[in-house]
Amino acid sequence: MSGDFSTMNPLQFSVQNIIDGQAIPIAITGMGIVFCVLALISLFIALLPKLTAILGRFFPETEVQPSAPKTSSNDAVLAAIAYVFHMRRR
Amino acid sequence: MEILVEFLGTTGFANLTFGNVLMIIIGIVFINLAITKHYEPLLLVPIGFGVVVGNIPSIASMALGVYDEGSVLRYIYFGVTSGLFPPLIFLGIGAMTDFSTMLSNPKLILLGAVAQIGIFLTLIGAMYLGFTPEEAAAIAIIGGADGPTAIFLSAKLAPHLLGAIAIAAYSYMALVPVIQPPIMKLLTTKKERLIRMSEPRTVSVRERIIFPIAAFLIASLIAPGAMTLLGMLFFGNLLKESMVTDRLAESARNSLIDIVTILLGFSVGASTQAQTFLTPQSLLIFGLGALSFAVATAGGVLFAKFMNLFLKDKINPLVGAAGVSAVPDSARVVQMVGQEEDPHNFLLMHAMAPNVAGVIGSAVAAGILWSVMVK
Repeated sequence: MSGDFSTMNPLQFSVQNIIDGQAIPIAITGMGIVFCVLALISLFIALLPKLTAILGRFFPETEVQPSAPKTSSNDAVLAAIAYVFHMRRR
Repeated sequence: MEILVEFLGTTGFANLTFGNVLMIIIGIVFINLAITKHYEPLLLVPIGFGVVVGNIPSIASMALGVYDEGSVLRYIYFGVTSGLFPPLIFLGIGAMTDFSTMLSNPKLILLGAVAQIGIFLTLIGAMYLGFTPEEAAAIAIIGGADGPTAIFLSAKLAPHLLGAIAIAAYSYMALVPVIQPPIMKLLTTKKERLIRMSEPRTVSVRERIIFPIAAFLIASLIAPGAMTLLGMLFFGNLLKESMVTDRLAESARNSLIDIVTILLGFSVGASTQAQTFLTPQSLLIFGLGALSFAVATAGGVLFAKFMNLFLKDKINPLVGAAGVSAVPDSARVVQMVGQEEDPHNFLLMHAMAPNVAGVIGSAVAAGILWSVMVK
């Protein structure tokens, strides 16, 4: 691919382009499918609490442990605060 | 002496055109906007520098440029043209996205769906202007406000427009805080902008784990063309929400996405050489991109107002503008415009729901356009 526009046909504005390219049927169908997909996902999510409640009767939800201990980036901050308190007390 | 003359003839100075100079200036402007104004710096710095690199005239007998067979830049650009990089970015996006606000208020998903109308109306407009159906589809996806999706579809349908489309998509994503607020204020009343929405419910861990699997199955069984992008998005999200693959999620949302962003941004920038970018078609692409954004914003806001006709628990119509999937900028704009009316109205988390729904919607739209247009 050369990325060369010089071989492209010059643009011609025309409503016929819309008809030839079936733009309107594609737009209506495409928008309809997008809406249906997201509406179905929305419906599924609305039912999800009920589904998880049913699942919970057979498979009670257990506390999921993280795979690695969360290293606290706050340890250094806590140490610094403790040090300041200690110094102020002194 | 002859050798010196010959050498001077191969220098960039000898072969620099006015178009190259202009593009280099544009690249520097992008870098400046990123550094001084903080406009999408993670994207505009690589793209801007790529534009500068791509517009240094190369020597005919040497493989230097992004379009030269065997050049380093071409190997990097392969990740763009093959459609490899965008799904990897979606993996990282999935690993950093919190779908809980969407799960807690599923009706807001419909705002993300309707906002994709910008894509399909722009498709009609682009065909009217004379672009081929494949080109029109690649241009229209700019309205999805999703850079990786725009690059993915353009690489599949209209690779010769990829540079202009990518620059337009990322430029408008950076300009979301400029483009959206006037449209939002024009289409809403003060009373509507003051609507406070109820607190979202708490979402359980089990729901967060089931959602990416189920949503992927629903979306890709209906629109298989979206399988690649949505598969990576929901895979990344599952890595995050399962809580047993923290390392993988961490890598996906940090190292992986950063590496791919660098390579993608730089190579896309390098592909925007003067002879491919400075054309009337590029100007039209920019114009259509702006139109697409505006229509998508208006569509989301107006649909929210329409939904309020039937809802007891009203939606603040500003939230509809967040259906434009520029995550999280659109949601931040909603928060900003809402707080201009009421500083204590926190719309950000509500706006994140249509915002992330818009990412799904634009990926589905891309899949549909690809499957319709592919020959």
